[in-house]
Amino acid sequence: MKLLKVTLGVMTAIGGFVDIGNLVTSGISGARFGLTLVWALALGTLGMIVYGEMAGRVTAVSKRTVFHVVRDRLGVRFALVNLVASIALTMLTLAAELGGVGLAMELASSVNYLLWVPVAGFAVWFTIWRVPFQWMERILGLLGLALVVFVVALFHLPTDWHALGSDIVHPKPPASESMATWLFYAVSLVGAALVPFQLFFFSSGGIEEDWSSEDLGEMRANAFIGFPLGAVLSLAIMAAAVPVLAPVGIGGRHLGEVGLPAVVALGKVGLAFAIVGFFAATFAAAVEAALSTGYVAAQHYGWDWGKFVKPREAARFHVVCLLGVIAATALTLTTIDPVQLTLVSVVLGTAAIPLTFFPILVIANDREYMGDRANGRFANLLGVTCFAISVITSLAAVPLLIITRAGQ
Amino acid sequence: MPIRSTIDLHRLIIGASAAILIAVLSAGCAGPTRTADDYRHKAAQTAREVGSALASGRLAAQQLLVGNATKAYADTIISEAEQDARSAQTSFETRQPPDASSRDLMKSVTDPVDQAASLLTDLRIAVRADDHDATDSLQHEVDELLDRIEQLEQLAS
Repeated sequence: MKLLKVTLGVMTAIGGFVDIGNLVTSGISGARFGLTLVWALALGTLGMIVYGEMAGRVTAVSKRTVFHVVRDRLGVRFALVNLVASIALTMLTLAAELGGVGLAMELASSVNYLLWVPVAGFAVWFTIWRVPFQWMERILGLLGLALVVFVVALFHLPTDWHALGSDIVHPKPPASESMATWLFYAVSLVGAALVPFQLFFFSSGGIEEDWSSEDLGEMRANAFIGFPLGAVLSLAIMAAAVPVLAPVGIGGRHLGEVGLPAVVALGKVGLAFAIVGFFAATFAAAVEAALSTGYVAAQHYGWDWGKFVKPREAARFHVVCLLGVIAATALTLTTIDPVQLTLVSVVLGTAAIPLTFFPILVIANDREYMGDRANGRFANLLGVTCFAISVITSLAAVPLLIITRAGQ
Repeated sequence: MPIRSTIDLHRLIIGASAAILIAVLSAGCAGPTRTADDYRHKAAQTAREVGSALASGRLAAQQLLVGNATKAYADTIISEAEQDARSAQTSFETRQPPDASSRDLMKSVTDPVDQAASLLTDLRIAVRADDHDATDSLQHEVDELLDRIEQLEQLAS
């Protein structure tokens, strides 16, 4: 039973860690820069582990979600700014994820992704309304593991392991690329790993799962195993692009191109796994993003929320989720390029990370809430280091977005 | 909450939203090509984008012919490659060359870029029609054009 509950971590890793943002940034990075940007993925993963653990610990110990505690501890004004920024960014992410679901379906059917987007929006809303939380996490979590196909593909491709290793230890932009573009994708990889709504979802999921202090070990297993698993999959997607896309100059800007290494290595079986993985990762992330809009709004205003109560008892929470899905579906249907939208949402999300990290760091140090479960020296060292990194990437994000015209 | 604080908060939210909107809109805009250097840079970027689209379409077609990919998958990738090539073509052709050398560069870029877009259209039609012979033959044409595009990219950069 304990093993099954760890699926929450796996789902968070697949659905939140490997979402459309990660698929796109890993594919492009591998195709254009080899593995020279692995350090950015590692930094983002470290930040997600450190702050995921803190957010989970705050939830398990105080039995309240991070967003709830933020309002209580840091005041309504700070929480309102956080709420507006979170909802705006989550809406962009949700639109990008719905586009990703549509693109995955297009790869399977060749029917234009825009026709799939309303279907995806309806399916996301239906999942939130009707499917129990545990079913949702188990089904999508297991389907998302199909992305392991990229790890298998890597061993079937003519991979130059020495060159990959050399890229990792000599991180610099290739001669054909500018430093600004390289740094833009570095920031994108950090942003794709550190998704702000993911922390709120992780924290709210803890309440859905009824975590307490006794569940800290299990929560840590989720953060320490689930998030790195997502990073390994991202790394595999990035590395598999190197022997297939980079030598022939394919930019990796489309989801179909990201899947090519699996196809070249494993044929139709590889293709099937890649498409199922793309679908599960983007659909799970879309559900999480839609739920997160409802979670943060309900937790800020003190409404009943969650899937552990009947929809009738948390009507306002479900209305916010539904409105979020409708608005994001409408945004995607404007025919905005989902990949461009993904890159923009990831980079703007990076700019907002300190807004999410700061209150978590403050609350995790508050002995009134946390008692003897407050941050120790090591947790604070990691927390402050990751916060400093998040401030630097946050300041660089928007200028790089504009200078490079979203990495063109 | 005091009125002044509320106004400040609203200003902050509106300011942040405006900044996000500007960033999103400007990220999608193409930059100006006022000088010969800008134009050469744009030509190199166009060659790179078209080269990427051709390579992508070629690999998808090849995987279809060897039985690794489904028709729907190959069709989707080739259609996207065709759109990318057309988009790069339009984006380049709408630029005004700033001087005589840029006009020469435009002439040398326009022909292969137009050809690339047409080839990808032909490839998409062949794949949708299950015409494997035409797909195979078009692959070779793509290979030849890719060499030209690569030379063009080096010339322009």
